[in-house]
Amino acid sequence: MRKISRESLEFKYLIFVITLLIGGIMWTGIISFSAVSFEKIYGTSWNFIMWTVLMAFIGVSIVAFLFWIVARRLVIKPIQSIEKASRALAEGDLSFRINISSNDEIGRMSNAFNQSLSSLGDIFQRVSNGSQRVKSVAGKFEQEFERFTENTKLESEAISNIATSLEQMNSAAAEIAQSVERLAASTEEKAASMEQMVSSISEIANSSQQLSTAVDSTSVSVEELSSTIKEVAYKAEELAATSEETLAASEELSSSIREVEQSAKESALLSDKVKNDASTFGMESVEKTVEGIQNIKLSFAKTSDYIKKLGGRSVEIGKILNVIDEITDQTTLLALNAAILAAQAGEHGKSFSVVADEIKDLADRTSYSTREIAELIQSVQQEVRDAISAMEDGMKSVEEGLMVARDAGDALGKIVETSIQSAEMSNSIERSTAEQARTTRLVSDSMEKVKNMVAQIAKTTQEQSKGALHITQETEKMRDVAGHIKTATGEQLISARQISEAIELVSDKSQHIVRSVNEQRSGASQIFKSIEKIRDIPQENLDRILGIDHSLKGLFKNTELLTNELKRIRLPETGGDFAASGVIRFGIEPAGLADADISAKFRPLAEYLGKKLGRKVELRISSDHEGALRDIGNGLAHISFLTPLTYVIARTKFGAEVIVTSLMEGKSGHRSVIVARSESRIRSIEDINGRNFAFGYRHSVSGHIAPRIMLLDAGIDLKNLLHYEYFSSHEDVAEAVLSGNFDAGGLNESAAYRYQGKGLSLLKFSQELPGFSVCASKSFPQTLKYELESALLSLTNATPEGSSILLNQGENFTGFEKASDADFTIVKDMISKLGMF
Amino acid sequence: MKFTVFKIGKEDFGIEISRVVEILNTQKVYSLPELPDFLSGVITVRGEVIPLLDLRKRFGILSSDTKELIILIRYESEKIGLLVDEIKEIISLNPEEIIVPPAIFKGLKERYLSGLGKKNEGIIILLNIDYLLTSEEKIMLKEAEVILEENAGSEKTAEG
Repeated sequence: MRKISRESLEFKYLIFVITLLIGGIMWTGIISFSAVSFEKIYGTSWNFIMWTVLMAFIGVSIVAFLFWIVARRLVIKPIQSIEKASRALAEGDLSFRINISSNDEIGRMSNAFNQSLSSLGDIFQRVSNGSQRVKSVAGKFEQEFERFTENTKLESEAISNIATSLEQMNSAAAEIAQSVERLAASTEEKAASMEQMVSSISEIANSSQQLSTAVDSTSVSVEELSSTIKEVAYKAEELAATSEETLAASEELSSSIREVEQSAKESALLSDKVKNDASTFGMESVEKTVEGIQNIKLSFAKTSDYIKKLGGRSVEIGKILNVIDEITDQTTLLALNAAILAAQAGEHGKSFSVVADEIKDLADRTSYSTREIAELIQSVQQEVRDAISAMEDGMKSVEEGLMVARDAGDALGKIVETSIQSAEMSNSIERSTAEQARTTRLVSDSMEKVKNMVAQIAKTTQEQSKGALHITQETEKMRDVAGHIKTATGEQLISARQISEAIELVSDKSQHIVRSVNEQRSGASQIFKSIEKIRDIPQENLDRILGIDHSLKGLFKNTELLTNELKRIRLPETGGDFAASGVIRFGIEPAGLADADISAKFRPLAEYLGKKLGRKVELRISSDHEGALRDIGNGLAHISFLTPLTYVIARTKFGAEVIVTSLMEGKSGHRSVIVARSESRIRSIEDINGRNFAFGYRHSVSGHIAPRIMLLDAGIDLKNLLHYEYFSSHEDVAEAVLSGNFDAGGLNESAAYRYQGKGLSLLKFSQELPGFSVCASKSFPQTLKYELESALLSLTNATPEGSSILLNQGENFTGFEKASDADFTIVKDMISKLGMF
Repeated sequence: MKFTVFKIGKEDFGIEISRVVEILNTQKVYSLPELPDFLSGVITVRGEVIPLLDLRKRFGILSSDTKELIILIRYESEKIGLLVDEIKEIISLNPEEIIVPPAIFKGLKERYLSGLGKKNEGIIILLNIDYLLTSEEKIMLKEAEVILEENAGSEKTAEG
């Protein structure tokens, strides 16, 4: 800001303050004047103070309002219009003017801006006109020169014409020089302001970078929070299940304790009864039994004695019987002898014979009875013997019975003892089970409370989880927005830098023009001098004019150059015409990689293509999928390295044409795989329903679109998933699934095979999918397309150069293969099935 | 006619009662070396030494019965004891109840038999006791009686 200017904002402010000051002094004066006769006006002084306050308030309000109007008129609006103008200028529009009439710094700056714009425009106009004119003059001159050989008579006229023209040209050149100098000056100014702008944009870029980082870290911590909440929810569920189980167990325990209590009571009663029975009835009856058995034993012994005596008597009877037998025998014999004698006696012995016969009969009967008695006695003796042995057996049984009865008595004694003990035990069991039952009820109650609390926790956690999901989504959006800002700022920065560069170039060229014009002028003045001489010496004309011709050709060339440069100035962003610049811009879709990595990755390929095509190949790394599409649409990328999805959209929107697809391990196609942790319970793709899922880069076919199709084929839409996220690389997806934060994920097969050994199981493979492709934009010349194609196809591992370039592209990258749009039908079908884009 | 009926084995034999002296219980039998083989030994009955003939041996009938009795009979002028199983009874037979014996009856030679008595459906073999001994036996018996008388005399002396 220049301090010498009177019409400055500061000056206005100063006047305002001074006015306020004067007003204040006046007020003070009035007050002091009034104070002289305060005895008179004491009554009205209160009124006056009120007035004073009111007036001061109104005055200040008015002044503040006026100040606002002034500030608005003087500062805000002009700055807005300057901003607009600067933006227009940045867009290359020189026709714009700022409409500010004030005479302060902003007004002057606007004027200067307007002036520089108009002078810049004028200069360009004039330079353009001049160069046109130079062109036409040179053309005419050549015509004249041709005519010169035919008509030397017209020479002097022509020379004078030339002289005039030269004079005009000289003055024009001088003007050009002047204007160009001014142009250079204003360009420098503009360049300075551009630099400021660039630096401020850089700052914005920096802060948006920071914003992006902050958002990223927020996103990360939100993700962490989300996973923690999920863990908490899971734990709460587990806890709920456990407490449920514990509750059931304690209920079971309670019921069994009740049973135990019941049984203990019953057993105590039984024990008591047993004790009573055993001690009262049992012992008594056992004692009676023992007594009875002893009695039996005694009477048995007596019986045995009697029987033995009886046996003895029978033996005696036997002996007596033998005597009787003997006597009988003898009697029989005697009777026989008597009978014989009687028979021998004849008639005299007849009566004797009868007696003898009777005796014999008696003897026979006696003998018979004796035999019978003997037999009876024998059977009696046998029976006595049997009775004795039976008695002995009976005695033995009695002895045994006695022993058994005694044992029974002992056993009963023991039973009584143990019954008393078991009764005591049962009583103590009953007491302790009652205690246990009480405790179990307490446990049960507290478990119920725990259950309720867990249910509450689960509910809260679910809400929390929902909230976290919401936050995640919001953060995702925020991240997208931040990304956009970052991209936009980046692009702005690039554009601004290009403008800046272009302006610098203009400045350089202007100076060059100044130099050339100066040279021209000096040449022209020499020519002028020479022409003075030529007028006298027409013979030397030819040689001189040849020199002029030479200079003119140089001029012509310079003018052409200038024209080109001017064209560039006017159309800095429509530079699709690489034919003019000769630079091929190679657009790269990052697909999850950082800028620096991509640059390092693709630079050797770009240099190789530059060498093969004989042109400079610049890398143009897009911010993302949309950026890549925008670059193709704006013509900022002439050829592009794209994901299949981006290619398909570029084809549809901008008519891009695929040249080649990349080969991974010799294959142009690859498959997408759905994976889960080997140890998880997910065995088939259908098990993923209601689970977490990790997708790859959002615009990757193998990382996102093909897994979506596979899930859809299994009846699982996004809304059937508990939660899903997009990861920037296939490796991140694999790590996310392995860490357990996600139940399943989608990724390309080479990454899946790499992680298969680390605990991933591969659930489902997609069809073969096309890989990354190199495409040319619609306006890319056909001949260059062929050159590009052959350059890419000849890039193989066979040559050391080729293998080093390919290795730089990636470990699995083995080359390129010719491709056509038909190879991408599967991708088109998929995105139309998903209803994307 | 009256007969004393006795039993050897299962057969009933009858001896004419007039020839029977007495029926004796078994006694101590003395066997002398000078006696012929057909005699079992001698017994002493009221001081009289009497030779004893075992009819069971003579008729070759084996008897399981351990009981035995002695029938003392008159044989010519001498007395002889017959050893039998059992004395059954004394019966009287009418002459029509006695039939002439066949040439041989149950292995017994005709000379021992005087006839067969039929009583109560049983057959009693009636013995002709005079032919119980052969002539040589009779002589041997006579000689033996002499010795026995000497022995008896010496015995008496010894007793005396």
